[in-house]
Amino acid sequence: MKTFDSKSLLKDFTPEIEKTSIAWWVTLITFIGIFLLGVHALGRQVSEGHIVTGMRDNVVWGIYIVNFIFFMGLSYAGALLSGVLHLYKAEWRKPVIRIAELITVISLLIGPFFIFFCVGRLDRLHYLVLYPRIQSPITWDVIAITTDLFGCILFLYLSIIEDLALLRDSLELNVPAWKKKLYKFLAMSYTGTPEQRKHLSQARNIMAAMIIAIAIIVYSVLAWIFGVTLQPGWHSTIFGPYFVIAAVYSGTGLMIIVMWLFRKIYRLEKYITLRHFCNVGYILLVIGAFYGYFTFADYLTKWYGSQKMDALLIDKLFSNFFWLFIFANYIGILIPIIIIGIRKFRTINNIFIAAIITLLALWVNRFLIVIPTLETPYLPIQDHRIDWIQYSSTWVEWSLSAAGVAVFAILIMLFSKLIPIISISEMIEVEDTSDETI
Amino acid sequence: MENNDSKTSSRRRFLREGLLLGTGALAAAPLLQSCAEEHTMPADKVKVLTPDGKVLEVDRANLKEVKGSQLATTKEAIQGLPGRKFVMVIDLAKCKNARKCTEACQEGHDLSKDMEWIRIYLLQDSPETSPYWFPRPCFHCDNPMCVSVCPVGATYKRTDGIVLVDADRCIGCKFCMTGCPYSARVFNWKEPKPQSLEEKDYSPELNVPAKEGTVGKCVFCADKLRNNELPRCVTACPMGVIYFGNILDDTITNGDETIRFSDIMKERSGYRYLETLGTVPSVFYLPPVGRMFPVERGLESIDDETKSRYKNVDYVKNLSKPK
Amino acid sequence: MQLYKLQYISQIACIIAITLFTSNAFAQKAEPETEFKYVKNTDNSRTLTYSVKYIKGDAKKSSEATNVPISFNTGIAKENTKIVNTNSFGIAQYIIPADQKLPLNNGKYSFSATIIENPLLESKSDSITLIDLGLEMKLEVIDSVKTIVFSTFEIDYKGLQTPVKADVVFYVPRTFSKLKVGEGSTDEKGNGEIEFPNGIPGDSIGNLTVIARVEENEMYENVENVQTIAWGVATNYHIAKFHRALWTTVAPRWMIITLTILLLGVWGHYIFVVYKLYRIQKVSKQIS
Repeated sequence: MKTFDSKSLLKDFTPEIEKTSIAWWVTLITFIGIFLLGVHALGRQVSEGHIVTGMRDNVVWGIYIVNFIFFMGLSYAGALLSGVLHLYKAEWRKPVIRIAELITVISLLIGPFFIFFCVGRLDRLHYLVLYPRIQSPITWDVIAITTDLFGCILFLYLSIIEDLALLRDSLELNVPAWKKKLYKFLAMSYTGTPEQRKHLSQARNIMAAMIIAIAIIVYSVLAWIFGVTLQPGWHSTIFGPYFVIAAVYSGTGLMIIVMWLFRKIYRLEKYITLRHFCNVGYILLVIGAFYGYFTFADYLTKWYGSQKMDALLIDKLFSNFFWLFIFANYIGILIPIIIIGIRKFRTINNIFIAAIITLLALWVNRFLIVIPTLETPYLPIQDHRIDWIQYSSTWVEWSLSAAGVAVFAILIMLFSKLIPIISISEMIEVEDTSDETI
Repeated sequence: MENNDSKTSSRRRFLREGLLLGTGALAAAPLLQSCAEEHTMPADKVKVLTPDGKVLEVDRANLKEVKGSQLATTKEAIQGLPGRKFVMVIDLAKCKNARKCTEACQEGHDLSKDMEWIRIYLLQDSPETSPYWFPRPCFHCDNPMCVSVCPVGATYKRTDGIVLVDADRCIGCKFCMTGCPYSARVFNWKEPKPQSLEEKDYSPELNVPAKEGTVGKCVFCADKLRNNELPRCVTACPMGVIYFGNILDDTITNGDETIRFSDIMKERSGYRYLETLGTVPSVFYLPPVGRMFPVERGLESIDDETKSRYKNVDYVKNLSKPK
Repeated sequence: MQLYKLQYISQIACIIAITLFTSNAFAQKAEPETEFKYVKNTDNSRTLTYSVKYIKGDAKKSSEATNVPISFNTGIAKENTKIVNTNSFGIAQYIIPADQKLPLNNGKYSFSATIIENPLLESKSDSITLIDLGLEMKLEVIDSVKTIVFSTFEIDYKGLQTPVKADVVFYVPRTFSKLKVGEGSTDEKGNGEIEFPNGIPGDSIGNLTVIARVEENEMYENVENVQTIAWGVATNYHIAKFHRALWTTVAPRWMIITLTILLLGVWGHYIFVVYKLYRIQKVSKQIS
């Protein structure tokens, strides 16, 4: 492993903070445009009611909830990865750990908004805090997400203090005065004395461990929103761990995608190499296998036992949702495993493609968890209105979904203008030279 | 035995009413106006019958129009009616999908036509078994999943067994709808149609007016029960399919016929829908044995739109097949 | 000139409008649907009930006519008239005290109810003619069987009793209606008995109200005898506060405990980490 000194690293990374290209602005404005479309859609939904969505009395939760699970999954995955990699002190983590932490915080900020979109009375959201009932998994979620958000921000902050101090002390840095002030404020007079380092390292270790625990609990809680109900397909004990695994799977996929993008855009070929892609890829492979196993276990028991409602649900999955099911649970598992498992296919671009498949498959997987079950209630749906029988999402829902993705991109872009996307302090930590990988 | 004595209770009702009538109610002036427009009394004094049978003359200005009784406030509606635990028994042998229960419910709760708090299904448990009409109100379960999962306590269960929704508290997360295994809850997807009923203060017991973005459902006509009257669906049913009563005094009635709950459960093998789910419903069914009508009767008197609801039932599919 | 004409026309129009409006209002008097009911109570008082309904405008169902003056007549003489208004359920009720002397006509009593001239409904009158019937009931346990012993007799103007045959129905009042617990007939001697069923819930000490009724009889109308006896099953109507459950307001204890432990554990660590940050800050201050 190469070692880097702070001067050359700063030289490499500060240009991104100092200057912004036209392409960056164009991209930002595009995303803001998508975001504004979402704002418009939300306006329509608020003024006209939820009738503008595809949700109806049977399918009361649509792609909003799918997006919610999806974004929260990405977040917990980021938390798990950064926590585990930090605790194992995996040397190769250093260039990628900041990306994982960023994904964690940003998707955690976006996820809950999809629950808000799904809620009929946005004006009463504060009731969740005013009149909480702790028996409700939604209350568990409110508590869990708040706790998680606080923890993740704290963890991210701990890991950027050193970089902030470096930026503050760098005389050559050519940034506006407000940015300098911000660095000075956030760096908290950290100078890197042995005692400060000791405290910081302790704090980071504690938070890394906490974040792993919280990620598991919080994502299980989310799964229990479905698991505790009596609905066929949801009422399953496997749902907690299944969701956690699925989350890590999608999160690892997203991490590869973001790594690939940053590597291309910010020219980080020197820092993020095939080795990093392979290592994250291995995690993807292992988690993918677990995810496949859980999926199989869940559907096998349902299919074999073949209770009436389970049988109806599986029938539906293999008829109305056939291709989605094949994509989510066959292609989405097998292709990434094959690409990463066979050395010949293991190129950066192929791993990137595998990651995209993973991400899409996992979105579809959540769709297949939420919608077919709601279309298969115990009492058969007897209605003459087609939209009451079958869910089909509307432009409002898609616009808001796109807006979620856009906000994710906007926040990542803005953050990368504030702090180097690769942790400088981690890279120069020379005393830690153990070449451990997991 | 006071709570069982219908005579006493009607007297009590009368007393309450007399009190309402007699008390000076300046605030009632607008109410009075509306009734005065309809049928004005010539004199400015009216005669009122007191509970002990005496006739009193009361000044018209002190008169308050009382239709039934006042609706319970949101706070009052949290308490169950004392000495009551309501139970409903639906006799599947008598139902012919006349849809009068649904209509009366929609009228009484100011629901639009596409919103049904009591819904009539055509069930056929397997292709070999016989189909039957299955009216489904809210089951007011004793272990209500919908109440368990509510994050803000907008839906709650009372001591008299009734599960209500407070539309002023509901945030519209729809978790209760996924929690309910009987699809008993409906969502106000858009602003409800302008109210056609007379203006009333909101009460969860009536759940009118509905509010956009909140959840509604059958309330067992808690407003009626407060006045010791039967739910609207019960009185509207021309076949007397729906029985209602207080399980504590072991008696149910469909308005015409009054029977012992335990007797009918024994004689007709009453059961609860999906007992295995453990939700412990307050609604019981009597199996469609010794039917009063053939099933097809239920398909005759309904419009095509309603008829098309049932097109996926095996029985209906076979009907349309050429013989 | 012009102005004068205009004034004149508008005056005429006004008059026409008023005439039309008022005549319309009078023409729209609705036809009442009435029901007249007589019940002789246990204490020998008599309840006359008159319920009045009418069809409002184009409505399909009839609705209760409130506040309509009803005159109840218990004889021929004017002084026997009482005026009562219908209440919000469209019901006017008049209870004749037991000690009130009622005029007899050919050995029969006559009662009538009349809707008095009013702006809402057309006038209507209903009447009932009946022979005074006595109904007695004894509740006894005979050979450990709960038995209702009852008798029926006609009462003439002197108060003399003549046993007669009659059908009697027995009820126990319940929350919404009366539960029929049996029926029986009296023989020529005016006597009858039936068995009272077991297992009917009473109040907290088992008290039940038993109603014996001669119902809608052509000659006697309705005659009632009501008594209370501890023949029911003692029932607790007071539902205590619910135990803690998932669906109650207060959560089960284990839930609160688990949540508290989890939250204390996590937030405790957070506080410790924030304290560490504070230490980092403090160390730097010591140096400078």
